[in-house]
Amino acid sequence: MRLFQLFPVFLMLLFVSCEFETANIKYNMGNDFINDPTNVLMIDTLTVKTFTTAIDSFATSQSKRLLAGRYINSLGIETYSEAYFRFDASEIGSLHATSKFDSVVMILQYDGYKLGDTTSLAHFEVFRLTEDIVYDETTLKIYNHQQFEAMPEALGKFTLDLSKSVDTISFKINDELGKELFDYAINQNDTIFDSELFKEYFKGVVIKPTDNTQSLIAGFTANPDSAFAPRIRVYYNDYRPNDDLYMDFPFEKFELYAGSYSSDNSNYCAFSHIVNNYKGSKWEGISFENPISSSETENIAFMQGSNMHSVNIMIPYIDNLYQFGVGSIIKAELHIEPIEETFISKNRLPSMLQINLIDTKYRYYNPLYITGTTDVAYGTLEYDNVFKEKTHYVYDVTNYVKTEFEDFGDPLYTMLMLIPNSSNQLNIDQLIIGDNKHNSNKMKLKIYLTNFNEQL
Amino acid sequence: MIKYSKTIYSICVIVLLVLPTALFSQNNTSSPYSVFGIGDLSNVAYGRNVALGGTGYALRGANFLNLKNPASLTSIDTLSFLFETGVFLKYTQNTSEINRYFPDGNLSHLTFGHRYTPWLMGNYGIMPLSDIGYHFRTIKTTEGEESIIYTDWIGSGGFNKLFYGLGLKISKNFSLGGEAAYIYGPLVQTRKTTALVNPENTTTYYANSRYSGFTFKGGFQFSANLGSKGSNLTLGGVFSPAQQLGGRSIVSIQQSYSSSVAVEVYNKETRADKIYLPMNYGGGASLIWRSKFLLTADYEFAPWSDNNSREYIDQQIFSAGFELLPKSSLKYFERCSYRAGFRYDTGYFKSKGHTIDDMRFSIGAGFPMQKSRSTLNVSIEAGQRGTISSGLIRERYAKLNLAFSLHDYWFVKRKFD
Repeated sequence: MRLFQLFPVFLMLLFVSCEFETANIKYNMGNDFINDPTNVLMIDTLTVKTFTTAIDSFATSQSKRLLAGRYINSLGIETYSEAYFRFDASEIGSLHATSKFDSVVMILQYDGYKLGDTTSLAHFEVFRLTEDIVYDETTLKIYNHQQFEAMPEALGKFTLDLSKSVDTISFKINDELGKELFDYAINQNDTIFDSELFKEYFKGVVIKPTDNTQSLIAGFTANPDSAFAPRIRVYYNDYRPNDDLYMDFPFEKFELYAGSYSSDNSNYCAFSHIVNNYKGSKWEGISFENPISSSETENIAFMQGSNMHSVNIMIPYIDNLYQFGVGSIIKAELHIEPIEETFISKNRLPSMLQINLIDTKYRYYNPLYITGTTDVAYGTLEYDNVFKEKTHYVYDVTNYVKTEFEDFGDPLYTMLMLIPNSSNQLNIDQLIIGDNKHNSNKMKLKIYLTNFNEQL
Repeated sequence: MIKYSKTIYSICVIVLLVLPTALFSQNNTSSPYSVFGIGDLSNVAYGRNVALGGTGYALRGANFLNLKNPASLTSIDTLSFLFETGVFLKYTQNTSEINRYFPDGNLSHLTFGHRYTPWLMGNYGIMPLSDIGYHFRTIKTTEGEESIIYTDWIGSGGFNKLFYGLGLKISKNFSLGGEAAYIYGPLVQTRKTTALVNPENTTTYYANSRYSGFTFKGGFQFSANLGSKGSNLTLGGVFSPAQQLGGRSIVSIQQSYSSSVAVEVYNKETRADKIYLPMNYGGGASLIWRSKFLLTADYEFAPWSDNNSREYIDQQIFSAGFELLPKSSLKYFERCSYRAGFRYDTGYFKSKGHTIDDMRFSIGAGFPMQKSRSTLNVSIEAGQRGTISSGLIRERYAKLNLAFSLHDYWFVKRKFD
């Protein structure tokens, strides 16, 4: 009987050892069920300072594109470019003594790149160089500000009309040069068959825009392996007047040392001279040492390819976010609008933007990566075909804001926004944007921050 | 005789000492409502009281421990030693968009009661007080922009109660009682917040808290015999002052980025947010009619709205019970008691404009054990809590309670021939 009284104790122990599996059920309670102390705040009132910066020089050699032309943008800044390059000796064998010189042309190919207005004609002239093209012995590069002497009279000239489809451009050049080359060939003169002698004799050419070309900079194919690379073609006939025979002096395939040829980096002596003239614009005086705040330039900043110009974006008071208490950055996004009047269509806008982080002395640190990865974060173009004024770039800058937020004290880095270079393709695209005080095309920084309505 | 009794007692004490924390720490609920207050109450009453709709303010009985009112202790026979324990099995159907079912079960209580002097009785024991177990999602919008954020809440834990009560017999008709209880338990909450503007970067709040605190309860009972034989009226009342449970919390907040980077934004051991238990008072009456049946009703009030949170409302509980009293008979089933009850609880919080009320019916019986005054109390409760309006959850449950009221004589002076 007494043992029976122990029964509850055993039953109790049995229950204690039981595990009732509580199903892992998640209920959707919607809103208003309970006050969730975790908040996400969208803050778009942080100060953003914007500066247009410039670099002193940048290498333009070893590119597969040569640029020539002149373009004055809507800010009154003139970009001027000349294309320098050389030719190799002829690969032709001997000519018959009966051959007769006919004519000489230069052949170029427009590679589709343009900066400026394609509705009006652009005129160019080609000059023979009188000075050897030399690259920097340390870096093996030629820089944008460099120029080399040329003859005062043009070898030839051509006109680009980009309102029509343009591909190969062939234009007559000075017959005297053609005759001379032809005679060397007839006479089996080494000058045109030996590579070194030829470049000594013919130092190369420069393509310059004529004075009245003010609206276009065009790109020309400069890939030595391309059948469309520049060349000088001497036409002659042999027995019959219309034989249409020719010999080519092709675009230089440069070898730094024997066997080093690679089309990716062979253009040691082909480069573009590119300079901006800011005179009369609000950016007069801009330089590497002297970035110009958008507050001095009607709330406008601009970028230009090849890092010629970048926009330095500073968010000096990120630490002010601590006024909201303990919190974390969920997302930070820059919304950048190109100024409507400065672009005509989508393909005139860079398709993406890149941010490099720089320290307070403008020293490069890193590209801005996507948080938690080493993938470069890019700003992407969101083009609005219907409402052009809604066209904008969206840039996820979470990683930057998060890092600066987590680091108390002065900002470690600032952001340098630029137009990324595509590989070996010289690019001087421009992007003119509004800062965060611009009337119609405001730059916006949206920060999504968590905070907690509870005792912490 | 004494030897056996002491054995049982010793076993129980060992169980009490060794097991209490592990014992009650099972996660026995899966209700989003357990996020409020101290969670879901494990049991509204114990033993005989359950079957009577959870009433008890005005119940007295020589062979039962009535945990609702410590003044009732004085009804224990002065020679008795009472040990009561129970288990329950509960089956719940939760209905929101779809039905879900889950079982649970646990020990319901473990108590002892006996006299100290002919006019002072005591009881003590341990019981799980509440269960916390939830997993749900809430939605709201970003401040400053109309974009959605949602939070997944996961909580577990619960509270246990260790109590000591005394009943003081002031006169034949009037008794006072008091109870002090130590309430303790863990509470773990995880909240993972996702903003749709960047769903990969989630924020996780984690708090692991251990709470404890004391509660006090005072009560009285007044009994009077009515004219006819075996008829009796009892009035009872109970009062508990407001209390707060405090504790320590380890709180950490982590911000994840693209699932590969997690930054610890905050990590601190702090004082936990207080859990507020409001003042609570109630009264009841019971009538025994000619030793044949008993009618009882209770009313209870707790002003939860004093809590500084908009979700809380004042709680009212109405309960009533009926019992067919056992007869002195040779037939076993006539020696059993049969009970039925009803209880309505307004609940103490409001969600989406709805009160989460609870209504339950109970039936039960007390089966005496042979050759002793011990009883096996069996009851079944069936009820419903909440509503499916506005996307809320309705819980329908059936619960089987088994409680053993074990009785022994401890204070009999042996006479040897």
